[in-house]
Amino acid sequence: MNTNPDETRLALWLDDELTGTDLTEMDAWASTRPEQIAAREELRAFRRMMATSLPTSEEPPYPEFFLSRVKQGIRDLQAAGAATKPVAMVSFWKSWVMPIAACAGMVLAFGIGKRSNESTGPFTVLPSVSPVVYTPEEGVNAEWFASSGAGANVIVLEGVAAIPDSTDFSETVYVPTARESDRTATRETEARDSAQQ
Amino acid sequence: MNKPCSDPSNPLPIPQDAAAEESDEDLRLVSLAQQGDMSAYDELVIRHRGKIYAMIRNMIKNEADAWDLSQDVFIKAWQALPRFEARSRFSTWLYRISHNVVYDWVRKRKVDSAGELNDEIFDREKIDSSARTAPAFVEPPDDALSNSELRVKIEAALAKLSEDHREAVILKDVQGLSYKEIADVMECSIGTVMSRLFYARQKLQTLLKDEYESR
Repeated sequence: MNTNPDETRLALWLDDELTGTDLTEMDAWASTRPEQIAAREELRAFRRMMATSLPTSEEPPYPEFFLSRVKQGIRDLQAAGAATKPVAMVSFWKSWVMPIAACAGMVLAFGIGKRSNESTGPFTVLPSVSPVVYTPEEGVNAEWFASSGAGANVIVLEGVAAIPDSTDFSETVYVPTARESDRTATRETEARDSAQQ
Repeated sequence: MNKPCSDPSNPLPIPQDAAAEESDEDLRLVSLAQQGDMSAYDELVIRHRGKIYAMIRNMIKNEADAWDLSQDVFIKAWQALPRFEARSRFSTWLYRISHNVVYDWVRKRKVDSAGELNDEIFDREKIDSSARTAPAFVEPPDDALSNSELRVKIEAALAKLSEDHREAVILKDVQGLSYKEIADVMECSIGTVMSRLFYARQKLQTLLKDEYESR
């Protein structure tokens, strides 16, 4: 029967990490193996040399200054945290809503532009379009609604975290005017002006 | 099974009662700090800065950088404190943060110039005497030891090891952590710790053969 300990148990014994029954059993096993006792002593001598030559604990130079620097670092972190939270949301909005809004705007502009080019008359009634809206992250669903009666476009995002009240939308969302988003607006305006004359 | 025992022949005896008391006090302070008690956190810094500074200094052999990195450890630890769940000792958790801080620093430093020692921050003449945080002068407690020939030789030998091997041997043979704790700190298996320790010790014993045999 093989009574030799496994590698892990032997290493733990050599490094004086065993206690209780495990230690008793291993000591009994090693008692007839002088080479193992010698190996443990050699390792102990090595560890003793290391432990007595290199400090386990060493007070850093200028300990009071050290502590004050840690406290200052924490204060800076707290201040930065307070300042960066809204910034983080701005960045969230810039990275999520703006691309979606831009995408919806592009689709809308494309649809309007296409219909404008196809139309023959100077006055064009803007048709309702169904833009393709996508989100670059799984689990987020985006829907776009246009209400001509209300004169509003609404994008509904499902699956994103709630927006804090502190978010300043004026800094995060750029809503293009019809003139800016549709190159044909100039043409239409010009046509309207000439018709009025 | 693998708790360090207090065998008198063990070069790193850890009195278990004292260690348990220390750990309990740490947990009490951590709990207070987690509730926003900054003075409790200051106490934790004071209790552990020596070990962390020594560990980092032994790892990177640069006092000024070790001083800065030790502060980073405590700032990061404060940031992560709400997530500390006392699954390990607070000191082991700090060693783990130290491990990450040192490895990040080593990675960044590889693109920097060859690590000259900047001792400027230790020049008392350069500190405004009226500064509120002007430090009291404290004589380094082991000046004599730091100048010892053996320490210099061991440090030189440690510098020849890979970072993983050096850290394993410092955590085990200097800081006295158990295999399990080292595995937690270095985020690897106990088998990997054993392997690293085996090769690190073998190389150190070869490099320090004369010193080692004369003792």
